[in-house]
Amino acid sequence: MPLQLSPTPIADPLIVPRNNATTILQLQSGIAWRQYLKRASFRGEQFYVDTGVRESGRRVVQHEFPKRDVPYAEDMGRRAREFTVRGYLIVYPVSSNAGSPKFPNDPLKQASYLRARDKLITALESTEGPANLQLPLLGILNVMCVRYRVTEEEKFGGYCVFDMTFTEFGLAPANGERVSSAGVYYAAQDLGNATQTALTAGITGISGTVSA
Amino acid sequence: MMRSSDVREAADIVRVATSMLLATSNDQIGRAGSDLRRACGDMAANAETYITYNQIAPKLAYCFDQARVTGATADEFKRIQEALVAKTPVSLVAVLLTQSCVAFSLQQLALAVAGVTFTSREDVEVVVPSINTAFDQAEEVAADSMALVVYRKLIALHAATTFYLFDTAQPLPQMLDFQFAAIRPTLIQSYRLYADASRADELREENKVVHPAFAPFTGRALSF
Repeated sequence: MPLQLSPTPIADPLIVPRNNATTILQLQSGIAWRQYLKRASFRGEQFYVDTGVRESGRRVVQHEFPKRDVPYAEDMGRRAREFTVRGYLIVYPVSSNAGSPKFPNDPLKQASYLRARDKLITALESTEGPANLQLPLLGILNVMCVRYRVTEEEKFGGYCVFDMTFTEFGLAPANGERVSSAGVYYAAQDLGNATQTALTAGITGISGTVSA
Repeated sequence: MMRSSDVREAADIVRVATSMLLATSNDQIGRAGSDLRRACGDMAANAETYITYNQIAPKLAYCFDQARVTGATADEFKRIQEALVAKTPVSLVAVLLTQSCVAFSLQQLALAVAGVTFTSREDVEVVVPSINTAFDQAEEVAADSMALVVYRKLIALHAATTFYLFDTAQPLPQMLDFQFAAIRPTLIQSYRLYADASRADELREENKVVHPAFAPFTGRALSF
Protein backbone atom coordinates (compact mmCIF):
# COMPACT_ATOMS: atom_id res chain seq x y z
CA MET A 1 0.00 0.00 0.00
CA PRO A 2 2.10 2.95 -1.21
CA LEU A 3 1.78 6.06 0.88
CA GLN A 4 3.79 8.24 -1.44
CA LEU A 5 3.87 8.98 -5.12
CA SER A 6 7.50 8.79 -6.02
CA PRO A 7 9.14 9.05 -9.40
CA THR A 8 10.08 5.71 -10.83
CA PRO A 9 13.76 4.98 -10.19
CA ILE A 10 15.96 5.51 -13.19
CA ALA A 11 16.76 2.02 -14.39
CA ASP A 12 16.44 2.31 -18.13
CA PRO A 13 19.69 1.14 -19.72
CA LEU A 14 18.83 3.11 -22.86
CA ILE A 15 19.01 6.37 -20.97
CA VAL A 16 21.96 5.70 -18.72
CA PRO A 17 24.09 2.84 -20.07
CA ARG A 18 25.15 0.46 -17.38
CA ASN A 19 28.67 0.76 -16.08
CA ASN A 20 28.99 4.17 -17.72
CA ALA A 21 29.05 7.48 -15.96
CA THR A 22 26.56 10.14 -17.00
CA THR A 23 28.09 12.19 -19.74
CA ILE A 24 27.99 15.93 -19.94
CA LEU A 25 25.79 15.66 -23.00
CA GLN A 26 23.22 13.73 -21.05
CA LEU A 27 23.33 16.30 -18.29
CA GLN A 28 22.89 19.18 -20.70
CA SER A 29 20.03 17.61 -22.61
CA GLY A 30 18.28 16.83 -19.35
CA ILE A 31 17.75 13.15 -20.01
CA ALA A 32 19.55 11.93 -16.91
CA TRP A 33 18.44 12.36 -13.30
CA ARG A 34 18.03 16.09 -13.64
CA GLN A 35 14.78 15.67 -15.51
CA TYR A 36 13.26 14.37 -12.29
CA LEU A 37 14.17 17.43 -10.24
CA LYS A 38 11.18 19.26 -8.81
CA ARG A 39 10.76 22.50 -6.94
CA ALA A 40 10.47 21.66 -3.25
CA SER A 41 7.36 22.71 -1.36
CA PHE A 42 5.43 22.02 1.81
CA ARG A 43 1.69 22.62 1.97
CA GLY A 44 2.11 24.38 -1.38
CA GLU A 45 4.73 26.86 -0.08
CA GLN A 46 7.92 26.60 -2.08
CA PHE A 47 11.53 26.76 -0.98
CA TYR A 48 14.96 25.85 -2.26
CA VAL A 49 16.61 22.78 -0.83
CA ASP A 50 20.16 22.59 0.39
CA THR A 51 19.99 19.09 1.80
CA GLY A 52 17.18 16.60 2.10
CA VAL A 53 17.59 13.53 4.27
CA ARG A 54 15.24 10.59 4.48
CA GLU A 55 15.69 8.08 7.25
CA SER A 56 13.87 4.97 8.24
CA GLY A 57 14.64 1.33 8.80
CA ARG A 58 13.23 -1.54 10.79
CA ARG A 59 12.25 -1.43 14.42
CA VAL A 60 14.44 -4.11 15.85
CA VAL A 61 14.55 -5.40 19.36
CA GLN A 62 17.84 -7.04 20.13
CA HIS A 63 17.62 -10.03 22.45
CA GLU A 64 20.76 -11.23 24.16
CA PHE A 65 20.65 -14.36 26.18
CA PRO A 66 22.75 -15.38 29.15
CA LYS A 67 25.33 -18.02 28.46
CA ARG A 68 24.78 -17.76 24.75
CA ASP A 69 27.00 -16.06 22.18
CA VAL A 70 24.44 -15.50 19.40
CA PRO A 71 21.87 -12.77 19.85
CA TYR A 72 18.48 -12.56 18.18
CA ALA A 73 17.21 -9.43 16.44
CA GLU A 74 13.43 -9.40 16.47
CA ASP A 75 11.74 -7.44 13.69
CA MET A 76 8.89 -5.25 15.00
CA GLY A 77 7.98 -3.57 11.72
CA ARG A 78 9.09 -0.60 9.67
CA ARG A 79 10.29 2.51 11.43
CA ALA A 80 8.33 5.69 10.63
CA ARG A 81 10.02 7.63 7.86
CA GLU A 82 11.55 10.89 8.93
CA PHE A 83 12.70 13.68 6.65
CA THR A 84 15.22 16.26 7.69
CA VAL A 85 15.36 19.08 5.20
CA ARG A 86 17.58 22.12 5.07
CA GLY A 87 15.85 24.61 2.85
CA TYR A 88 16.59 28.23 2.13
CA LEU A 89 15.07 31.36 0.67
CA ILE A 90 17.08 34.05 -1.03
CA VAL A 91 16.41 37.39 -2.65
CA TYR A 92 16.71 38.04 -6.37
CA PRO A 93 17.90 41.32 -7.91
CA VAL A 94 14.44 41.99 -9.33
CA SER A 95 11.04 40.47 -8.75
CA SER A 96 10.12 38.14 -11.57
CA ASN A 97 6.36 38.34 -11.61
CA ALA A 98 6.18 37.75 -15.32
CA GLY A 99 7.84 34.49 -14.49
CA SER A 100 9.69 31.87 -16.37
CA PRO A 101 7.74 29.54 -18.69
CA LYS A 102 8.00 26.73 -16.17
CA PHE A 103 7.20 28.74 -13.04
CA PRO A 104 5.07 31.75 -13.92
CA ASN A 105 4.74 34.24 -11.10
CA ASP A 106 7.53 32.46 -9.30
CA PRO A 107 7.14 33.17 -5.56
CA LEU A 108 10.80 32.43 -4.91
CA LYS A 109 12.27 34.80 -7.47
CA GLN A 110 11.40 37.99 -5.66
CA ALA A 111 13.34 41.06 -4.52
CA SER A 112 12.22 40.30 -0.95
CA TYR A 113 12.20 36.85 0.55
CA LEU A 114 10.12 37.90 3.55
CA ARG A 115 6.72 37.04 2.13
CA ALA A 116 7.85 33.54 1.09
CA ARG A 117 9.45 33.10 4.53
CA ASP A 118 6.29 34.09 6.39
CA LYS A 119 4.12 31.86 4.23
CA LEU A 120 6.42 28.91 4.80
CA ILE A 121 6.40 29.55 8.56
CA THR A 122 2.60 29.62 8.51
CA ALA A 123 2.51 26.37 6.55
CA LEU A 124 4.89 24.75 9.00
CA GLU A 125 3.31 25.77 12.29
CA SER A 126 -0.15 27.29 11.95
CA THR A 127 -2.09 24.76 9.96
CA GLU A 128 -3.35 21.60 11.56
CA GLY A 129 -3.01 18.17 10.00
CA PRO A 130 -0.74 16.49 7.50
CA ALA A 131 0.29 18.00 4.20
CA ASN A 132 2.21 17.11 1.10
CA LEU A 133 5.95 17.57 1.17
CA GLN A 134 7.53 17.72 -2.27
CA LEU A 135 11.26 17.20 -2.26
CA PRO A 136 13.45 17.56 -5.35
CA LEU A 137 13.90 13.85 -5.91
CA LEU A 138 11.93 12.05 -3.21
CA GLY A 139 8.44 12.41 -4.63
CA ILE A 140 5.39 13.68 -2.80
CA LEU A 141 5.12 12.57 0.80
CA ASN A 142 2.26 13.00 3.21
CA VAL A 143 3.92 14.24 6.38
CA MET A 144 3.57 16.27 9.56
CA CYS A 145 6.07 18.94 10.51
CA VAL A 146 7.52 18.04 13.90
CA ARG A 147 9.72 21.09 14.29
CA TYR A 148 11.54 23.70 12.29
CA ARG A 149 14.17 26.36 12.81
CA VAL A 150 14.65 29.51 10.80
CA THR A 151 18.09 31.04 10.82
CA GLU A 152 18.88 34.53 9.59
CA GLU A 153 22.42 35.75 9.89
CA GLU A 154 23.73 39.27 9.83
CA LYS A 155 26.50 38.47 7.41
CA PHE A 156 24.13 36.72 5.00
CA GLY A 157 21.58 39.43 4.31
CA GLY A 158 18.64 38.55 2.11
CA TYR A 159 18.94 34.89 2.91
CA CYS A 160 17.40 32.62 5.49
CA VAL A 161 17.79 28.93 6.23
CA PHE A 162 15.01 26.59 7.29
CA ASP A 163 15.95 23.42 9.15
CA MET A 164 12.79 21.32 9.09
CA THR A 165 11.95 17.90 10.42
CA PHE A 166 9.00 16.00 9.06
CA THR A 167 7.59 12.66 10.04
CA GLU A 168 5.47 10.31 8.00
CA PHE A 169 1.73 10.76 8.60
CA GLY A 170 0.75 7.19 7.77
CA LEU A 171 -2.73 6.02 8.61
CA ALA A 172 -4.84 6.45 11.70
CA PRO A 173 -5.71 3.12 13.30
CA ALA A 174 -8.98 1.97 11.78
CA ASN A 175 -11.45 -0.24 13.55
CA GLY A 176 -13.35 -2.27 11.01
CA GLU A 177 -15.34 -4.25 13.56
CA ARG A 178 -18.02 -1.66 14.26
CA VAL A 179 -20.88 -1.39 11.79
CA SER A 180 -21.57 2.29 12.04
CA SER A 181 -24.09 2.41 9.18
CA ALA A 182 -26.48 0.34 11.32
CA GLY A 183 -26.20 3.02 14.01
CA VAL A 184 -27.32 5.66 11.50
CA TYR A 185 -30.23 3.47 10.41
CA TYR A 186 -31.51 2.91 13.95
CA ALA A 187 -31.01 6.54 14.99
CA ALA A 188 -32.88 7.68 11.86
CA GLN A 189 -35.76 5.33 12.61
CA ASP A 190 -35.90 6.65 16.17
CA LEU A 191 -35.98 10.24 14.97
CA GLY A 192 -38.71 9.47 12.44
CA ASN A 193 -40.86 7.78 15.09
CA ALA A 194 -40.27 10.53 17.64
CA THR A 195 -41.14 13.22 15.08
CA GLN A 196 -44.35 11.45 14.10
CA THR A 197 -45.35 11.06 17.75
CA ALA A 198 -44.52 14.68 18.53
CA LEU A 199 -46.45 15.91 15.48
CA THR A 200 -49.50 13.83 16.30
CA ALA A 201 -49.43 14.87 19.96
CA GLY A 202 -48.88 18.51 18.98
CA ILE A 203 -51.87 18.60 16.64
CA THR A 204 -53.96 16.81 19.23
CA GLY A 205 -53.03 19.48 21.73
CA ILE A 206 -53.87 22.32 19.36
CA SER A 207 -56.92 20.98 17.60
CA GLY A 208 -60.49 21.17 18.57
CA THR A 209 -63.13 22.28 16.20
CA VAL A 210 -62.15 24.05 13.02
CA SER A 211 -63.62 27.52 12.96
CA ALA A 212 -64.09 29.70 9.90
CA MET B 1 -58.53 25.33 18.85
CA MET B 2 -57.31 25.31 15.27
CA ARG B 3 -58.54 28.03 12.95
CA SER B 4 -59.02 27.28 9.28
CA SER B 5 -56.47 29.96 8.35
CA ASP B 6 -53.92 28.13 10.52
CA VAL B 7 -54.73 24.88 8.77
CA ARG B 8 -54.32 26.53 5.38
CA GLU B 9 -50.93 27.98 6.39
CA ALA B 10 -49.78 24.57 7.64
CA ALA B 11 -51.06 22.91 4.46
CA ASP B 12 -49.05 25.38 2.38
CA ILE B 13 -45.90 24.34 4.24
CA VAL B 14 -46.70 20.71 3.53
CA ARG B 15 -47.26 21.47 -0.16
CA VAL B 16 -43.89 23.22 -0.37
CA ALA B 17 -42.21 20.13 1.10
CA THR B 18 -44.03 17.67 -1.14
CA SER B 19 -43.42 19.72 -4.30
CA MET B 20 -39.69 19.77 -3.46
CA LEU B 21 -39.76 16.03 -2.86
CA LEU B 22 -41.34 15.55 -6.26
CA ALA B 23 -38.70 17.77 -7.86
CA THR B 24 -35.78 15.71 -6.60
CA SER B 25 -33.53 14.73 -9.45
CA ASN B 26 -34.32 11.05 -9.51
CA ASP B 27 -35.80 9.29 -12.47
CA GLN B 28 -38.86 8.31 -10.41
CA ILE B 29 -39.78 5.39 -12.60
CA GLY B 30 -41.32 2.10 -11.59
CA ARG B 31 -43.42 1.26 -8.61
CA ALA B 32 -41.42 3.35 -6.15
CA GLY B 33 -41.73 6.43 -8.39
CA SER B 34 -45.47 6.03 -8.83
CA ASP B 35 -45.89 5.52 -5.06
CA LEU B 36 -44.02 8.75 -4.44
CA ARG B 37 -46.12 10.69 -6.94
CA ARG B 38 -49.34 9.27 -5.55
CA ALA B 39 -48.37 9.98 -1.93
CA CYS B 40 -47.21 13.54 -2.68
CA GLY B 41 -50.27 14.22 -4.86
CA ASP B 42 -52.56 12.91 -2.15
CA MET B 43 -50.81 15.08 0.40
CA ALA B 44 -51.06 18.19 -1.79
CA ALA B 45 -54.75 17.60 -2.45
CA ASN B 46 -55.85 16.63 1.04
CA ALA B 47 -53.36 18.31 3.35
CA GLU B 48 -56.03 20.36 5.14
CA THR B 49 -58.13 17.26 5.80
CA TYR B 50 -55.20 15.26 7.10
CA ILE B 51 -54.14 18.09 9.40
CA THR B 52 -57.64 18.61 10.70
CA TYR B 53 -58.17 14.94 11.45
CA ASN B 54 -54.62 14.55 12.71
CA GLN B 55 -53.63 11.89 10.18
CA ILE B 56 -50.79 13.75 8.56
CA ALA B 57 -47.75 12.46 10.51
CA PRO B 58 -47.40 8.95 9.03
CA LYS B 59 -48.39 10.12 5.53
CA LEU B 60 -45.81 12.91 5.57
CA ALA B 61 -43.13 10.54 6.85
CA TYR B 62 -44.01 8.14 4.05
CA CYS B 63 -43.54 10.88 1.40
CA PHE B 64 -40.03 11.64 2.67
CA ASP B 65 -39.17 7.97 2.95
CA GLN B 66 -40.41 7.26 -0.55
CA ALA B 67 -38.37 10.15 -2.00
CA ARG B 68 -35.19 8.57 -0.65
CA VAL B 69 -36.21 5.14 -1.93
CA THR B 70 -36.66 6.57 -5.43
CA GLY B 71 -33.16 8.02 -5.35
CA ALA B 72 -33.25 11.51 -3.83
CA THR B 73 -29.75 12.48 -2.74
CA ALA B 74 -28.39 13.91 0.49
CA ASP B 75 -27.89 17.29 -1.20
CA GLU B 76 -31.53 17.40 -2.21
CA PHE B 77 -32.71 16.67 1.31
CA LYS B 78 -30.33 19.38 2.52
CA ARG B 79 -31.95 21.83 0.09
CA ILE B 80 -35.41 20.86 1.30
CA GLN B 81 -34.31 21.34 4.89
CA GLU B 82 -32.82 24.76 4.09
CA ALA B 83 -35.97 25.86 2.26
CA LEU B 84 -38.13 24.85 5.21
CA VAL B 85 -35.85 26.49 7.77
CA ALA B 86 -36.14 29.72 5.78
CA LYS B 87 -39.92 29.70 6.21
CA THR B 88 -41.39 31.88 8.96
CA PRO B 89 -44.70 30.27 9.88
CA VAL B 90 -46.99 32.13 12.24
CA SER B 91 -49.56 29.68 13.53
CA LEU B 92 -48.65 26.97 16.00
CA VAL B 93 -49.66 24.11 13.74
CA ALA B 94 -47.64 25.52 10.84
CA VAL B 95 -44.59 25.83 13.11
CA LEU B 96 -45.11 22.24 14.23
CA LEU B 97 -45.34 20.97 10.67
CA THR B 98 -42.30 22.98 9.55
CA GLN B 99 -40.20 21.52 12.35
CA SER B 100 -41.48 18.03 11.59
CA CYS B 101 -40.62 18.39 7.90
CA VAL B 102 -37.13 19.58 8.89
CA ALA B 103 -36.72 16.53 11.14
CA PHE B 104 -37.93 14.20 8.38
CA SER B 105 -35.48 15.85 5.95
CA LEU B 106 -32.62 15.27 8.37
CA GLN B 107 -33.68 11.68 8.93
CA GLN B 108 -33.61 11.01 5.20
CA LEU B 109 -30.44 13.06 4.77
CA ALA B 110 -28.65 10.80 7.26
CA LEU B 111 -29.98 7.65 5.60
CA ALA B 112 -28.96 8.96 2.16
CA VAL B 113 -25.45 9.73 3.43
CA ALA B 114 -25.23 6.22 4.89
CA GLY B 115 -26.01 4.88 1.42
CA VAL B 116 -23.32 6.84 -0.41
CA THR B 117 -20.16 5.06 -1.54
CA PHE B 118 -17.28 7.41 -0.86
CA THR B 119 -14.08 6.99 -2.84
CA SER B 120 -11.71 9.26 -0.95
CA ARG B 121 -11.31 10.85 2.42
CA GLU B 122 -11.77 14.29 0.85
CA ASP B 123 -15.24 13.28 -0.37
CA VAL B 124 -16.20 12.56 3.24
CA GLU B 125 -14.64 15.77 4.50
CA VAL B 126 -16.77 17.78 2.09
CA VAL B 127 -19.96 16.24 3.47
CA VAL B 128 -19.20 16.64 7.18
CA PRO B 129 -19.54 20.46 7.49
CA SER B 130 -22.84 20.56 5.59
CA ILE B 131 -24.24 17.78 7.79
CA ASN B 132 -23.13 19.62 10.90
CA THR B 133 -24.72 22.88 9.75
CA ALA B 134 -28.02 21.19 8.97
CA PHE B 135 -28.20 19.37 12.30
CA ASP B 136 -27.02 22.37 14.35
CA GLN B 137 -29.89 24.50 13.06
CA ALA B 138 -32.50 21.83 13.78
CA GLU B 139 -31.06 21.06 17.22
CA GLU B 140 -31.20 24.73 18.14
CA VAL B 141 -34.83 25.00 17.08
CA ALA B 142 -35.80 21.75 18.82
CA ALA B 143 -34.10 22.86 22.05
CA ASP B 144 -35.80 26.27 21.95
CA SER B 145 -39.22 24.77 21.37
CA MET B 146 -38.79 22.36 24.31
CA ALA B 147 -39.29 19.32 22.06
CA LEU B 148 -37.14 17.21 24.32
CA VAL B 149 -37.64 13.79 22.76
CA VAL B 150 -37.08 15.07 19.23
CA TYR B 151 -34.04 17.01 20.45
CA ARG B 152 -32.54 13.88 22.01
CA LYS B 153 -33.18 11.85 18.87
CA LEU B 154 -31.69 14.59 16.70
CA ILE B 155 -28.55 14.62 18.81
CA ALA B 156 -28.36 10.82 18.61
CA LEU B 157 -28.74 10.81 14.83
CA HIS B 158 -26.20 13.61 14.47
CA ALA B 159 -23.72 11.65 16.56
CA ALA B 160 -24.39 8.41 14.68
CA THR B 161 -23.94 10.12 11.31
CA THR B 162 -20.74 11.85 12.40
CA PHE B 163 -19.34 8.59 13.72
CA TYR B 164 -20.34 6.81 10.53
CA LEU B 165 -18.56 9.41 8.40
CA PHE B 166 -15.47 9.28 10.61
CA ASP B 167 -15.48 5.50 10.47
CA THR B 168 -15.97 5.51 6.71
CA ALA B 169 -13.18 8.00 6.10
CA GLN B 170 -10.58 6.06 8.07
CA PRO B 171 -9.70 3.34 5.57
CA LEU B 172 -10.24 5.47 2.46
CA PRO B 173 -7.30 6.75 0.44
CA GLN B 174 -6.44 10.42 0.50
CA MET B 175 -6.21 12.59 -2.56
CA LEU B 176 -2.59 13.50 -3.18
CA ASP B 177 -1.06 15.94 -5.62
CA PHE B 178 1.42 14.55 -8.11
CA GLN B 179 3.81 16.23 -10.45
CA PHE B 180 5.70 14.56 -13.26
CA ALA B 181 8.59 16.08 -15.11
CA ALA B 182 6.83 16.06 -18.46
CA ILE B 183 3.48 15.64 -20.16
CA ARG B 184 2.71 11.95 -20.50
CA PRO B 185 -0.23 9.72 -21.43
CA THR B 186 -2.53 8.77 -18.58
CA LEU B 187 -1.54 5.14 -19.11
CA ILE B 188 2.05 5.93 -18.22
CA GLN B 189 1.03 8.16 -15.33
CA SER B 190 -1.16 5.39 -13.97
CA TYR B 191 1.63 2.86 -14.28
CA ARG B 192 4.11 5.18 -12.59
CA LEU B 193 1.77 5.97 -9.73
CA TYR B 194 0.21 2.60 -9.03
CA ALA B 195 2.24 0.09 -11.07
CA ASP B 196 -1.11 -0.55 -12.74
CA ALA B 197 -1.99 1.03 -16.08
CA SER B 198 -5.63 0.04 -15.83
CA ARG B 199 -6.34 3.02 -13.55
CA ALA B 200 -5.65 5.47 -16.40
CA ASP B 201 -9.34 6.32 -16.82
CA GLU B 202 -9.60 7.14 -13.13
CA LEU B 203 -6.76 9.67 -13.51
CA ARG B 204 -8.36 11.10 -16.65
CA GLU B 205 -11.71 11.65 -14.96
CA GLU B 206 -10.26 13.02 -11.74
CA ASN B 207 -8.06 15.56 -13.53
CA LYS B 208 -10.46 16.32 -16.40
CA VAL B 209 -7.80 15.51 -18.97
CA VAL B 210 -8.81 16.71 -22.44
CA HIS B 211 -6.87 14.04 -24.33
CA PRO B 212 -5.53 10.98 -22.49
CA ALA B 213 -2.38 10.91 -24.60
CA PHE B 214 -1.29 14.31 -23.31
CA ALA B 215 -2.15 14.47 -19.64
CA PRO B 216 -0.84 17.53 -17.76
CA PHE B 217 2.19 16.78 -15.63
CA THR B 218 0.47 17.96 -12.45
CA GLY B 219 -2.70 16.52 -11.01
CA ARG B 220 -4.43 14.72 -8.19
CA ALA B 221 -4.73 11.03 -7.54
CA LEU B 222 -5.81 8.61 -4.86
CA SER B 223 -2.95 7.59 -2.59
CA PHE B 224 -3.64 3.90 -3.16
